[in-house]
Amino acid sequence: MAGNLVRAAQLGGVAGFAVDTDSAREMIFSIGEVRTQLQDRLRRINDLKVRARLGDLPEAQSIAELDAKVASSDHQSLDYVLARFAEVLEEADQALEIGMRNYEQIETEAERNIRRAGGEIST
Amino acid sequence: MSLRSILVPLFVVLTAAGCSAPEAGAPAAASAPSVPPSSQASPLPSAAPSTGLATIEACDLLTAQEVNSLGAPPQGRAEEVLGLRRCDWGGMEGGVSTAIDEELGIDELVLSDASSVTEITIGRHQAKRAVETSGPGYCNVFFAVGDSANVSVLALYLNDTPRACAVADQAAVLIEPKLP
Repeated sequence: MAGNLVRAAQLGGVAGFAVDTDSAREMIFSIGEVRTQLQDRLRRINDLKVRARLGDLPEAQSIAELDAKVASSDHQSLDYVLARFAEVLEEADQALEIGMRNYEQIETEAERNIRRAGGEIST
Repeated sequence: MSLRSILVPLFVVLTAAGCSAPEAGAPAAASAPSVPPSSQASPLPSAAPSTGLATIEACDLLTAQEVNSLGAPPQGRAEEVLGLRRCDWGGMEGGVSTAIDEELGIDELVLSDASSVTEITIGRHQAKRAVETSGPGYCNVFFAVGDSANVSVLALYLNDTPRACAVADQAAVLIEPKLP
């Protein structure tokens, strides 16, 4: 999935993905907040994971080991999924930047065309 | 039999048995008379030795200026989770966190997922540097504080381990003098 959003936004160019500046800025701000919270959660999960409390009882060990496994260690683990989510959000951020530039380019081109048309009419 | 002749004895019995509604948020009822704790308290059989960490907060381990020098937002967010006192300074690109753990020594930490674990000494403290404990971009330094406590700093910059370790190493040097 990595890069798909950005590639799509780039390939589309001015004829493809475009988003007006105000909307894009609002979305980029919101995505930024989510990305910040995600990073906080990932650090918290790591801090807890390395401190799985292993008591003396075998039951306590089993539970702690299971907790650690759920929190981490494979591609279905919480930290893996959140890390991938953070990557997708970063990509969405970049795609919005491209979409915003595309929109500005469309606006500039439209303005230029109108002026050119106005000039042709007046001459 | 009149209603009064039933209710009065019932009231007396309930009052004698202490059947009053507990006050919300009040501690469990203690029937023993209150005495100064010093005259009655007996030492706990397995009281943990003091590590000197009780008065330190995780957010005090780095000043705003120090956090700024690490490239993270200076406003720390404190939390206590499962007995761990933590502080987070981070933005959307990444950041650092500190944690005070008064339960585990550094040899009890679960670092088997790390790509590398190195025993190091910073200032007066033994420490372990664990890289990629939860994947690329994670770098931790765990300080030993006595045998059964540790203080850690974690830098996370997803998929950028060299940057994370540069920040973690720098933060560790700043934190170490503040530890007991």
